[in-house]
Amino acid sequence: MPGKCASLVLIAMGLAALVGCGSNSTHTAYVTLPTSNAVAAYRIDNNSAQFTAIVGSPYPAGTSPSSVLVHPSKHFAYAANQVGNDISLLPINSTIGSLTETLPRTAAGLAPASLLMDTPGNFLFALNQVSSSISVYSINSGSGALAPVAGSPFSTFQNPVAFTLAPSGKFLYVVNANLAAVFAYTVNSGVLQPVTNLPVQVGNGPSGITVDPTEKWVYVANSTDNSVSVLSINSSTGALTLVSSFAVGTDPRSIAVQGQYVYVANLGSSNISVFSVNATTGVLTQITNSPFSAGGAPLFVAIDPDGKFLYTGSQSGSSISVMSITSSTGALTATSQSASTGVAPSSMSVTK
Amino acid sequence: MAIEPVGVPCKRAGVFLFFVFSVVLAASSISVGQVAPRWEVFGGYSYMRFDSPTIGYANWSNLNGFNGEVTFNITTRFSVTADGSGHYGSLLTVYNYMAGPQYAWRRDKSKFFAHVLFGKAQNTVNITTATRGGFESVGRAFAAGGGYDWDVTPRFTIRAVQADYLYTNTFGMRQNDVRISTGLVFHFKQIGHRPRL
Repeated sequence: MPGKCASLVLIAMGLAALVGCGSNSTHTAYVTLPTSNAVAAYRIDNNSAQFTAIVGSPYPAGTSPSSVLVHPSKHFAYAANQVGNDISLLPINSTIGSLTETLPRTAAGLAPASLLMDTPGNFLFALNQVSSSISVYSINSGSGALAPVAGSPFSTFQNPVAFTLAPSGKFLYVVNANLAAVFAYTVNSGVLQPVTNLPVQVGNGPSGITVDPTEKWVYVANSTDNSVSVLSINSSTGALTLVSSFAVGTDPRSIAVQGQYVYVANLGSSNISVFSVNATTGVLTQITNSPFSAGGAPLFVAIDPDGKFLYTGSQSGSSISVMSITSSTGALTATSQSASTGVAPSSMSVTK
Repeated sequence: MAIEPVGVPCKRAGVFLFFVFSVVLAASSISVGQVAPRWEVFGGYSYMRFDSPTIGYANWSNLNGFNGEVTFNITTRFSVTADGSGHYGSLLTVYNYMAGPQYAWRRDKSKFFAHVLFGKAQNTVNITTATRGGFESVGRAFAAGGGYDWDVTPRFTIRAVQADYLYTNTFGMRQNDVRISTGLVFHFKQIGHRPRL
């Protein structure tokens, strides 16, 4: 009996080894679906970028969620509800990654279109496009609850369309479409103060903005001029100086930066313009074979935390497409991986 | 979407263990017994390693629960089995209902058996959203495996181990699971005859 029992135990161990050995490392991605009033959730394999929808996805949020962010603790996410004029707090189930909204929602200004968060996760910023203001909230690290900081909301010039926060959290930049300009603010414990300089003119129809991780440059996508403007940052004051503007594809909307490379999503020409950045001058040089076909009218781009893949939100395809990044050249290669979102996605947040 | 294959070291370990099993089994002299119970009823503890990354979990799930079977022995070798199991974990409940043929090798008080089972899986993820109190999916189930029983008395047997590979198709994805059970088997009536001395 002992020999036969031993052999059966070995069967069991063999089965377990064959089938159950080793879980794959994954990232988690959350995607806003405005017309579904929901946020979709996916696991993304770190090596293959294969998407797996988390059971129960998409999860209900407020009316027309346009932007989503995950708190650094990974305990909760926030969605800006552009039509609902409020912000959803979405605690994350640590086992599954599912979202369950906590009510009531937090009031914002009119048409909160974008969200930002400082690196430690102490403050949340919401850009209110119609009421032309920025709502700033302190974040309760335990519950995720939001409380407006003193002086919030902070007024901006009319029709702000996008904003970005420096990695240090010291400076915040707002793109104004009416003036085709960028306004600069200092940030101190969540309180915004305009930098005394006049706004800096960029190209016509500015629609997207981002700061590079080294906090030396700000990039602005100019959707009417089909260009990207590069501005240098004064590290002491946060003031901006225009370096130059560079031609991209048609109707650029979103920018992402990975190392020395800048990626611009061109909605009209359905491709991604890729530039290398001169670290000293900020001058952009388009890399070989750029722009790279993205397909399906990409509205936004996001880069995975490992820097291996670039994700684009396809409006016509109602999907997230995946391109691999060659780290040495910045070049993009189409992959077979994608995730159908059912409706047009508006933003994406990827966490480790 | 294709299911991600397991890493190479895991496959090598599995192949090695199966090889060892084959050597051990071949070294055992097994002859077919000539007496068997007409009915066997099994019940006991069961462990399942569930392929939860296919439904969006970060890791596989270790579930605990029960396994029960009712076996009708047509002959001392061939039988049909009805199998039911339930496994529970954090936010996850897995039920399987299957039936199929079974083949047994018997000698003295030992019985090796192997079976293939077909049926249904009913999986539930117990998460609450604003509009749902949980998510359930029912799909196909298939199992292949076997085990070893040791007769304690003419009436009941210890099932030392039963190991099954379990394939299910729920939530639109295919899961590859492992189920391991142990417990007691009760016998009713008898078929066959003992050899004359």
